[in-house]
Amino acid sequence: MNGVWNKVLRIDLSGGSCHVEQVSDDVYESFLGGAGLAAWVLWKECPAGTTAFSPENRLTLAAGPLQGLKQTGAAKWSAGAISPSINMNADSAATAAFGIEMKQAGYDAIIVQGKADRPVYAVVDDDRVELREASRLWGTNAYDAHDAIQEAEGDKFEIASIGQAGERLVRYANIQTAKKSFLGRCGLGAVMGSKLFKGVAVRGSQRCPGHDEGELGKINKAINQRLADVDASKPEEFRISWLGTAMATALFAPQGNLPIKNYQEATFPSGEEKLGGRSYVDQLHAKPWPCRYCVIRCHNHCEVEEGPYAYNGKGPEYESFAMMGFNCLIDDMKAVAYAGELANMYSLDTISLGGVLAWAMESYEKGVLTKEDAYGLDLTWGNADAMIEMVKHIGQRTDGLGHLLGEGCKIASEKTGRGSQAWAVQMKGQEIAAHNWRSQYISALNYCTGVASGPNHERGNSQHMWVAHVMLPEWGLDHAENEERWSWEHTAERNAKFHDYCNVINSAVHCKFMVFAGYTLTDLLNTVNASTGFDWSQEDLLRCGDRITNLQKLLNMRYGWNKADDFRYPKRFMEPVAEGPAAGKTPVGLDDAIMQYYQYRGWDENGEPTDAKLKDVGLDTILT
Amino acid sequence: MRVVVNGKEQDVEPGTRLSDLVVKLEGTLQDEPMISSLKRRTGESQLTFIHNDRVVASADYDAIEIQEDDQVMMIHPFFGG
Repeated sequence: MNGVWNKVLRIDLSGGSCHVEQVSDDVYESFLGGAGLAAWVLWKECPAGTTAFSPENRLTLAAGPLQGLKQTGAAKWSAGAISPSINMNADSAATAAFGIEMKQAGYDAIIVQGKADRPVYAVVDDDRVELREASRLWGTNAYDAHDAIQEAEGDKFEIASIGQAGERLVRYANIQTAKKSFLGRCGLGAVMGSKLFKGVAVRGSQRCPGHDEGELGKINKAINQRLADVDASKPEEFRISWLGTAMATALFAPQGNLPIKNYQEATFPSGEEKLGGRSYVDQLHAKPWPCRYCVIRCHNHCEVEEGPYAYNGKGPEYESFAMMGFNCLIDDMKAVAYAGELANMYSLDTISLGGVLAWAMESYEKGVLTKEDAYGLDLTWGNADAMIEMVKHIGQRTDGLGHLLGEGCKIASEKTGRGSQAWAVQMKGQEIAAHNWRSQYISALNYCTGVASGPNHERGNSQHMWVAHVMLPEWGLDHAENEERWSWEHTAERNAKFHDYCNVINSAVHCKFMVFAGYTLTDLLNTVNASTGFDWSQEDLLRCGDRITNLQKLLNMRYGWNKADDFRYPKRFMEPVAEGPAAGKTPVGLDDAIMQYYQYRGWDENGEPTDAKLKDVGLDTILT
Repeated sequence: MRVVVNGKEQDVEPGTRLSDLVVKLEGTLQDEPMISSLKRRTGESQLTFIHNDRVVASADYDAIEIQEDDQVMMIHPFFGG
């Protein structure tokens, strides 16, 4: 087949060996690549009993059939492993150009296993693969490690690296690339840390041929032009290239979708005023910082020239604003941006970090944590400086509260007790992202039933049907009334299809944000077919997503998931807010909706795939 | 006559102009809180319309007569999250 190399690079850190392995066509025909390929590696190689920090865990960095195409959004890449936050299989995605270079080096994926006897990083330069001593880098932040590796190897290498939080096994440590994009969720940075693996540099010079190069050229041109035109047609204050995801706060506020004060409140007027798109540009001097081949250019480079929050680097995304700003009642744009960049350098996922900080602030307010616990810091809601200091303590895993909060708020609340589990807004060990269940009930169902990466807003983005009017008409989802936000009707089908949608996008691998500028499932299908030579229909694409979802479910079961986990959702969302667009709304009926979801998927009453379902998606033969 | 609007086939009268469709489509979003908020703040819904793969400037909506099998897509102003 075309569009992939049928080759993966395996790096065994225990033995210090690296070699290339062949992958047969049927693996790609079944799982495409990316997240699907990473799940397949876990299925083959990590039996029950394998844990996140065991050397046997596999960290798979994977491209798909789209990497290398000059199409906006095709700079994405995925990674998968057993996660230390949810203790199950997980995948995460980042962008920039690492995935493109990996593909151009001649590999569809790099599988990292084992544990080094001292810190190392890997250099992958086409077929030259070497491990380098990295003891001198151990203890540095992720950006300094990036710079040091690039300085040693050459500036044409793309780098993925971790900072101190990854080394010290913070359960929500991320992996950075290009100092602007992150494999954010599920703690894959801690998996690297557990292997004493500081980073990887990759550079490639080969082009993977597509099936129909002429058609690919036409497709790329049409998509790139359309998406660029959509952005250019908008007033400046709604241009993606101007504001990136910072525009979301202003659009979410009237929907009641923002997380405010650890999801306790409905409005935060000063935050809405000060953490919006205009101040993002004015105060942070945001400038577009595009990923390779991207015409949308949503990443921003920001600069604060002076003052206590001076920095020069990555502009915060919506989730960082929401979780570290709104959720902690902090309305200082510069402080939130600075804290976010600190988190990036330590390798802390800002979503989980914001959830953990809000839990700590609520614990402090209720007297469960004291100033003495917090190194003398006053963890009052809205105290930006205290928050920043706590980010440092967590990133460095300082003895005491910093270490505890590095475990995530599930473990932190279990160890702390005194009722604090009631305000730990997490599920299965992972903090809930910045989409309010009271605003659209389908978010609740997504988080409870997600199998790709536990509760995750980007592994089942059904919330976008309302918060952004994203539809999947090719799969029969073409309309949703506003009032249906608060209804369970159709949610099983909608939720299932968005889970499958995320799986095909993350396995192909493409950027989900392109849909906000007019990218469609038709675009994705046409590109996959032209790249690989498949002759798939939309039904085939959906079935592929369904297959990957079921494989992930089997992995969940292997690593210890049980039905009760799906029903242990945060109590906070069952407490109504008194004002705002979602006043009085709580997702009552969620338990029944979960059971309906199981039924829609063809799973039994225990939420497990039936033999008939596995046969239907072909897993009965593929996995044997 | 059949056209495809946001991926869904619809019947429209011959002679329908894009501006007619825009009014109709915007009308379906009257109660949508994001769009309502945008209208209050900016005076417009900030929706973008694509006709047969080309983005159309609002000044040109009335100049386009919809033909059989045309494709129209409505893009919301949202990005992120």
